[in-house]
Amino acid sequence: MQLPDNFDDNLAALGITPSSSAKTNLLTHIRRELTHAAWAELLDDEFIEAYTNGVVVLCVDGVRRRIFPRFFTYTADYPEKYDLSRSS
Amino acid sequence: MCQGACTTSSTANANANAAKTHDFDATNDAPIDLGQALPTPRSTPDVIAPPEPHRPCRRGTLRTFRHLNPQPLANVVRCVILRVTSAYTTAINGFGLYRVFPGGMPAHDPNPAILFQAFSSDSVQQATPFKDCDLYPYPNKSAALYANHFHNYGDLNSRSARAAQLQLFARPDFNAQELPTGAEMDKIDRILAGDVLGFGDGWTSRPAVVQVPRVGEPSAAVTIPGLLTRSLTKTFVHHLQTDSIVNSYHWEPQHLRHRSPSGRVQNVYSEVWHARRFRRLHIEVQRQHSHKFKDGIPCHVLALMPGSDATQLAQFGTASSWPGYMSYSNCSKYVRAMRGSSAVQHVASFPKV
Repeated sequence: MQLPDNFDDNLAALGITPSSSAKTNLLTHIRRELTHAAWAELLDDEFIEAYTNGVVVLCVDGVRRRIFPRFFTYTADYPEKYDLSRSS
Repeated sequence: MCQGACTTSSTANANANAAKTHDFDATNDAPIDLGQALPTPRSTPDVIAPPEPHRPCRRGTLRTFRHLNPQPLANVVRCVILRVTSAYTTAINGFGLYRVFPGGMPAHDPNPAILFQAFSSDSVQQATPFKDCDLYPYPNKSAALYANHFHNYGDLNSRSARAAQLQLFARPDFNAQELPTGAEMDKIDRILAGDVLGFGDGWTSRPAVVQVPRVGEPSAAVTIPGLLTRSLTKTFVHHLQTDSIVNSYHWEPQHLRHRSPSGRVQNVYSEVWHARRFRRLHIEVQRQHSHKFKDGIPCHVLALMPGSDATQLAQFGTASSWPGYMSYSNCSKYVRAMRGSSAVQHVASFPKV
């Protein structure tokens, strides 16, 4: 989904008018912050509760299980890894 | 060795023969060099300060904590939890492969649930056709079909829209008499927008706020609209409750091993439930939680494998989206890789910058 067209205007209103090279860095920063903001949204209180104390689910095979979600891998390509892990 | 000897020496012994609180003789006599690391035991009782009345203590107890345990150890009921498991090993198959279940015989072996045909491309499941029970919140099929047309061609006045409308009116299962009123349609739209688990699949949209640093000034908050997310918990709960591939899920860790004709055995890593991390997390969950709940419901790890990739939507033009997916590696990779196996859930749609 694209940003609204006035995104540059928003930045200008904040007094941010970066040069083209600085803008690349700024976009990288915003992408990384955005990914983290999205994951902060996904890892909500409900998920933390399920992670800590489990959630009882009657599975489709008829067995009731207490499910503890745990992360194993995050599949992403290199640009995304860059967004996720870049710290400066 | 010394620890064991000291622990077993009773308090009575310590009181009666206060001088000899340490039973080091055996250690000293032994040829092992342990004695060098330990302080030299006092040879005569005279050198020792008067001992405390109750001193069950051994070398191993820190001096600082002695006052915390004034009672003799004889009053303490020891409780030792023994977790005895004997691994269950399957027979070696024609490829020299066999499985070892470290926690004993598994309660559920999903492998027989998967037939060989399941891995062939002929078995791709088609999307579930519309059923009347799937129409919520629409009152009937005509209303759902009409809304489908409205959402796809609502603001178009084109020939294709007209053709689709004629096609809709010609359908035998479409009855214009059944259509709800405009006010009822508005109400349905509101239900769809606020729906959590039903037709709307629980998507919520809220803008992401990002801080942009500025030189010499405090950082500025920039709002980026268009972040769509779905509750991770509700998504996997719904998946486990309804999708039939859950029948083939693996919940218990196992080793897959190969024995060569020469007798050499090595581990084979093929799926997540063969991995050390899955085994470790499984054991961790059993240790921490299975005794906490008395209801006897087995505790299991659901292995989450999120992924995301920006995707071009069209061959021409720049239309693209950045979806976030969630898959569960309790499901075999062969099943997950199959088109239409409904093994991957769409949980997020990131805005593109």
